[in-house]
Amino acid sequence: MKFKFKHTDKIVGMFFLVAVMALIFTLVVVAASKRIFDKKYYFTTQFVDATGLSSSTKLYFKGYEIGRLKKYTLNISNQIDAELIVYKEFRDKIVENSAIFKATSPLTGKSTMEFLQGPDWNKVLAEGEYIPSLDTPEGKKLLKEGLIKRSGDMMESVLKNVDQLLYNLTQDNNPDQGALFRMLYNLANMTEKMDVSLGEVNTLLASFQKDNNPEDGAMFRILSNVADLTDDFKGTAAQLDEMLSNYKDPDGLVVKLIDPDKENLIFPMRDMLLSLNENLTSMNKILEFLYQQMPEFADILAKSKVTLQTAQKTLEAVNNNPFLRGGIKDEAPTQQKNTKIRLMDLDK
Amino acid sequence: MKKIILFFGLLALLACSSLPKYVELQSTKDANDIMKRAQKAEADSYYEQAQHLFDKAFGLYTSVDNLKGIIISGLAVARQYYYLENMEQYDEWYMKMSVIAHNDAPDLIPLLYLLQMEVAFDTEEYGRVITLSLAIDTSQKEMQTELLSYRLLALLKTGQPYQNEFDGIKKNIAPLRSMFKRNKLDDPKIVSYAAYTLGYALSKQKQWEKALEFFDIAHEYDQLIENTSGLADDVYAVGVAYENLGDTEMALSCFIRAKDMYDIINNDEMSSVTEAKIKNITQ
Repeated sequence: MKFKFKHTDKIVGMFFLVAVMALIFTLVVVAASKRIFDKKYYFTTQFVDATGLSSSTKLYFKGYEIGRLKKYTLNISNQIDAELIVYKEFRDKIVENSAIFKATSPLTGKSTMEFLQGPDWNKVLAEGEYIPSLDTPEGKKLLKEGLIKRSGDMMESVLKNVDQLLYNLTQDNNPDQGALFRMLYNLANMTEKMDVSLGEVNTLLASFQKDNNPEDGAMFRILSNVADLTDDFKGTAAQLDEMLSNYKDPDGLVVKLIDPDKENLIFPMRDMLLSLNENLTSMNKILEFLYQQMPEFADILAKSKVTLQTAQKTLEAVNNNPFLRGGIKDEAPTQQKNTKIRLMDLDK
Repeated sequence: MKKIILFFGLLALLACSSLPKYVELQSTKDANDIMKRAQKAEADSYYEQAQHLFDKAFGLYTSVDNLKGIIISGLAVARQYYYLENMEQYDEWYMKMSVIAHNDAPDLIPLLYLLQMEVAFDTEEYGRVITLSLAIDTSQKEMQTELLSYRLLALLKTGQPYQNEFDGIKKNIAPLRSMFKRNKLDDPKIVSYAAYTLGYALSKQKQWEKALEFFDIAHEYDQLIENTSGLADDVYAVGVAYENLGDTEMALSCFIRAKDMYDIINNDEMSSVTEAKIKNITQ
């Protein structure tokens, strides 16, 4: 019995319909996620550069995506004119005295835009109006006046702060900028005063270095007296030294008692000591040489050990190879069983 | 089907052939090393040191139950006691080895006889040497050659005919040389010893040219195994052969070399003998 489809057309049509519906559904979902059907509000802004900007650069407010960059162009005055889209549900957040902060990540090079809301939430900005960015003087003015507060990207904030700090550090006479700068200002003043003080100390030290100046005060008189005392002590020490050297001299009582002619004991002993000294010098040289060579010997031994271990492994591998086994001769045994007596009376 | 079975059978055989051989135990290796050191000490006449080392090797062979090593090292210990004239210890060790050999290794019994023959030879008891050599027989070429050598020398010393022994040794030399090439000899010194013995026997018959051939063989094999004392004897023997053949130039050269070697190995007796030979030729 032949099997036959009765409703082939209907089945094919159903499959086709399902496929088309799936496609439409997908398109709708994608469009909805891209906010294609949402109503959008347009605003303008301006940046000093387009670094990190693209048509997909998003505008954030308090972490929410409230819009995105639509397009941007370079104008006659070399500024970047940009057009922003704000989604319908965030339309009310765009109020007067707001600003845009463009932050560029130093790692990825991409930019994000942060919306900095103005203080008066009731004064909603009309569509198409200009929102200044912090790159522009208007934006900086808003920031300086405290109408907006910058949050933005953490890294960018840090870098901006560092930039500000470096700028202040290069400026002189700015004690009103904070504790750090007050400290630096005071430190600079202090070093100036210290410079003067050091000059005075230097003069005093120069006076100390002069000899025999009792007219300079009590301290210098004391020093002068101490110098005289040490001079006397120097003479006493010389006498003491002479006395000690006399005690050291062997050509005295002991020598006269033991060996008056010096030929039996003193001179042979001196010769012996001289020879011993020479030998010790030679020995010292040998030991020094050996000591110098020690690291090399140690190095050679260590390398030899490693080489032997490697060679052992290689030979083991070769020996275990089934194609070579049997090809290596066994070690010749050297078990001498006994002493073989040889007679040497050959021609007797 | 048969081909497949055959193929797999061959494969299995091939796999079995790659199985590791008997792995020599570390103790055996250590014992072999100690034996070498002991033999060197013995050759240098340091008998106490040699006895100590052989004893140590004996202990190691015993720990791994290596019968051959036990008997060879044990007999070597006995021999050192003989050199040290401690006959009590010699007898004790000899008996101990005798018991082990008779109980567990009858094929090594000839080694006991060889030691006795060596001692008898040293004490010039040639009759005893002949008796001992006739009391034991072995098919093992090395020991057989050594037995024949001792018997030949003893017969020669006692003025008896030794042609059978001479032929026996001569017959064994070729297979021994072959075994030497294949590293199958337990005691490689046997080749040079056998050749030297034949040369010695021929020298006693004043057949110097033939003797020279055997001395050359002995020299060749002693060189191969670096047997320094044997080499000195070989060179001396070659010198004597040349001297008797009238080639004094070659003889002098050999004696000078031999004297140097005897001096190196501290064999004063042979050094003075060789010196006398040199003086005789130069005068």
